[in-house]
Amino acid sequence: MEKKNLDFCTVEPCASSNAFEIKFKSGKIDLNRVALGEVLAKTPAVLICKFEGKGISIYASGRIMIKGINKQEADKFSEEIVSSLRASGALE
Amino acid sequence: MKIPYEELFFRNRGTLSAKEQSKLKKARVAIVGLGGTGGFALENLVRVGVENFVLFDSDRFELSNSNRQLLCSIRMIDKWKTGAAARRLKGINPNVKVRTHVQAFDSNARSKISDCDFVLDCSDNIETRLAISSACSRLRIPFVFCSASFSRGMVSVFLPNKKFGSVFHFPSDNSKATFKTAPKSCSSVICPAPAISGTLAASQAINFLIGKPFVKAPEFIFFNLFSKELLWKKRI
Repeated sequence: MEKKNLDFCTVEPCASSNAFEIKFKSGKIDLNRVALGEVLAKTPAVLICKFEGKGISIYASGRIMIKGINKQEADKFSEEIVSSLRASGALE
Repeated sequence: MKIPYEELFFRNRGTLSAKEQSKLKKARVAIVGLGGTGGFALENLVRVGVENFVLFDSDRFELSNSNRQLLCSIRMIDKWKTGAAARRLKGINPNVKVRTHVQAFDSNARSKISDCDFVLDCSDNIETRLAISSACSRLRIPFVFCSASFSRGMVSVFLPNKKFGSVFHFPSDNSKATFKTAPKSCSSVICPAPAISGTLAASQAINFLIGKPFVKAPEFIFFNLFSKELLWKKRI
C-alpha cells in the first residue's frame, strides 16, 4: 500500500496492520472544535472518537489515526474527516 | 543545585569499581530510537551513571505506544519522544548533559555522533539500521543492535569492522533493493520483550564501556519469553 500525497496532507498505512494515518503538512488541530462522530475520550493532546463505526484518534499536533480500515476506506474516510475538520474550523 | 554523583550512584559500589564508574560517567552514548527498546535502554544507562547522551527520534508519542514504551504516559501523548526522554534523564540525574535531535537517523546525522563512545541502535526499520551501521563503521564507533517483536528479541554488539548488512546477508549496506526484500516490522509486541531487549542492549553497552565481556556479531543473544529456554546465544 502506497502513501497518498495530497496538497495539504498525506494518507499512509501504519506499521500496525490495518490502520491508516493522515498527517497534515502544516498546521495543528483544535480539538475543541472537532465535531466528528461520538467522542469517547478527550485530553488536551488527543481526542478519541467513533465515526461510522471506526475508531479514530485525532492528535492536536496534526495527525489522525483511523483503525480497522483498508486502502479504499482510508481514501474515503480521509476526505470525509478533512472536510468535517475544515467545516468546523478545527484545522488551524 | 548540583547533586553529588557519588550520592546518586552509591549503590553501584561493589558491583562497579571506582574506575569503572568513572568510565561510565565520562562516556557519551547515542541512542537512536526512543520507543520500546530505546526507552528501557535509556533508563538503564542513566541509572548506572552515564551522564552524556545524544538522542535521536523523529516521532511524537501516540496512544498505541502505551502498551510497551516506558517514556509514554497519557500526559506525554502527542509530545516529542526526544523531549520526554530529556526530561526523564534530568529527572533522574540533573547533571546529565543531553543533545536531542528530532529527526530520523540518516547519513546527515553522522557528524552528530562523531564524539560518541558507543551507539545504541533501538530503531525499528532496516533503513535506519543500515544508516547507523554505515555511520558507525566510518566513525569507528561500536554499536549495539537490539530488536523486539511478539514475545521475542535479539541483541548483539557490532564492532566497527563488522557491517550490519554482511551479518544479515544483505547485498550491501546501502542497497535500496534490500529494503524491499527485508521483512516488514511487525506491529505486535508485548512490553516485556522491548524491556528485556533494551535492558540487554544497555548492559552490553555498559560492558563495552567498562571493558567487560560482551556478545559480538555475528553471535547474538536471543530470547523468547514464551519458551522454556528463555535466553540463548547463537551465531547467525
